[in-house]
Amino acid sequence: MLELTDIINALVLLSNFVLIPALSYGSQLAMGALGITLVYGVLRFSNFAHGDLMAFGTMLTILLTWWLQSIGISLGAFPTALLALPFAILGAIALSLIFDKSVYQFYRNQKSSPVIFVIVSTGVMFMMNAIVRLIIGPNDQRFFDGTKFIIHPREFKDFTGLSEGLAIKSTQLLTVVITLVTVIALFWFLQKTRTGKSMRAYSDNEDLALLSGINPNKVIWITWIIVAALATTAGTLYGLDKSFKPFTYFMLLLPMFASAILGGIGNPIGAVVGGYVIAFSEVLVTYAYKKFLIYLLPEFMEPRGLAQFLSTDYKFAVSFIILVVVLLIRPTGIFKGKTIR
Amino acid sequence: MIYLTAENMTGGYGATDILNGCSISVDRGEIAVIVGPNGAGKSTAMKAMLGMLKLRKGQITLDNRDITALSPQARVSVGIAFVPQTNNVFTGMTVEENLEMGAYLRHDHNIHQTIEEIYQLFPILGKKRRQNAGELSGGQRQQVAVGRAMMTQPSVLMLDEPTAGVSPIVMDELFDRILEVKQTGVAILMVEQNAAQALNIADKGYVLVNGTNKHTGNGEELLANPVVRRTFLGG
Ligand SMILES: Nc1ncnc2c1ncn2[C@@H]1O[C@H](COP(=O)(O)OP(=O)(O)OP(=O)(O)O)[C@@H](O)[C@H]1O
Ligand SMILES: [Mg+2]
Repeated sequence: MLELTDIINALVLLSNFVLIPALSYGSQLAMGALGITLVYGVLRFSNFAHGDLMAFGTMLTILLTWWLQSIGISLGAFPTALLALPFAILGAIALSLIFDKSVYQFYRNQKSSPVIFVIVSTGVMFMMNAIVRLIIGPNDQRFFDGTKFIIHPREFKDFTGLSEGLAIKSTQLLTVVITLVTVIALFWFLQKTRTGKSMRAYSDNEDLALLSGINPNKVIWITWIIVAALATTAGTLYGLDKSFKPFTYFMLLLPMFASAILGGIGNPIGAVVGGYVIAFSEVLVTYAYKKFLIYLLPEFMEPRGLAQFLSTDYKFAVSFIILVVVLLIRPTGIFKGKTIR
Repeated sequence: MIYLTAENMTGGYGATDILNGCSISVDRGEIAVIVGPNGAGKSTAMKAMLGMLKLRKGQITLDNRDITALSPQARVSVGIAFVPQTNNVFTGMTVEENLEMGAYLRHDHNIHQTIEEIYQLFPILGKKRRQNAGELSGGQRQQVAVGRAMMTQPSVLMLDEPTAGVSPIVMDELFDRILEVKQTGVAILMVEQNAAQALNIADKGYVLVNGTNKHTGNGEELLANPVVRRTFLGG
């Protein structure tokens, strides 16, 4: 007989290992994919250096956090990194603008094809990669401080008497809240302000935007500023939630591109939706359902193995498969972005 | 001198010249129409007058001021507005946003008043103000395109085939609107495929062939000219 406590235990388990992690990972991907989609929409190329821009921004957050900690400044229950974040964003903006001015601008003036831009951005990727490894090294870094849990699993267990304890980490809640605020602010900016509209106009029809007197340099600079801010915020939240390792950030490129393309590249709403779809797919497919099923199934039907579709080692395969399927079936993505050329 | 004057324009996109000493001018409150066979260089002539094409020879003046060296944006800000032949609206933006973008260079507070004036000129745009321009019919899109160009309150309006792909009824309506714009003292220069109808409302016409002026005259003269009739107006 299936008991109510078993059902609740199963749901708590699912929310601990699927719902909440996927929600926060999805938020991080969403913000990353937004950056990719904005660069594609405005500058018209796939920016392969985006993962490493995230790594660079996060590195600045970490260095500043360590410095703040060393002089005894903290945010109490909140991670000190939040205090460092705005300054790290400024650093990432500076780097983006330097690369735009010294590298991308040259190819823009040449009116180079998108393929050239992709190769150029790969070069920029290697450079950012090297900068990060030179400064902070290739290893794992942890920089989280403050209160770890909003809802502590043991306290939850003691309080409810359930055998599974609900766990919500403060970084998970922070990620979701900051993403929500950032995304709302970005959409308001794009839809309601003169500058935001001029960015959309430039992305929509470059020639006509020029004829309307929109300054392309201003649009491009603002795009880099927003993209660097999004990348640094996403990277910092990811690093707080998990840990920071330059190689991991490079690897995030695949799920972030999958998110942007799935949603329709160039389309900001699509990037956000795509981020959550990819995150949930990845987590759902790599979660081992054994314990979950034990709660719900009668004893004789209990699974022998882990009841896992795919080992977590293969989680990137999920993004890859989704990416390939989308490109084959609906290259414009869910929300009709631009076809990738 | 005539308000907008282009003299002896010579140049092209690459090594070969598309324009070979072509001259075009239009005064305020006047409609000048450029007709000619496909590939004659009509659009190219307009692009040159707008500064989107580098000329090897020739000079363009606006109100006696030499503007040959100005960039397209600078020409927009001195009062020249342009409606391109294709891709002339922001498809992913609403009708109203299209108009707002047209006014991007303006910093006064009367933009919404101008938008209302455009809605009076093109009532359908007022009804569809919240709809994406990409979802409109061809004729409605052309109205958005003209409306966007009018938002700078230009003294010169250049239109490249505004009636391409629209039905004869919409064409007549568009021409009526263009006549109304002319009444406000704007200099209007347009390229037209519907040559006979366009010359009917024109004060002045240019027949362009191979980048040079082949025939010039007022609308009636060109319509009456047997050579022009036979070669360009289909009999
Ligand atoms: N961007 C460009 N680059 C190179 N050549 C061009 C370009 N645009 C037009 N041409 C060439 O210039 C010549 C004149 O073209 P243009 O568009 O001015 O003709 P048009 O008179 O406007 O013709 P249509 O009636 O078809 O619009 C053509 O031979 C065309 O192939
Ligand atoms: Mg043409």
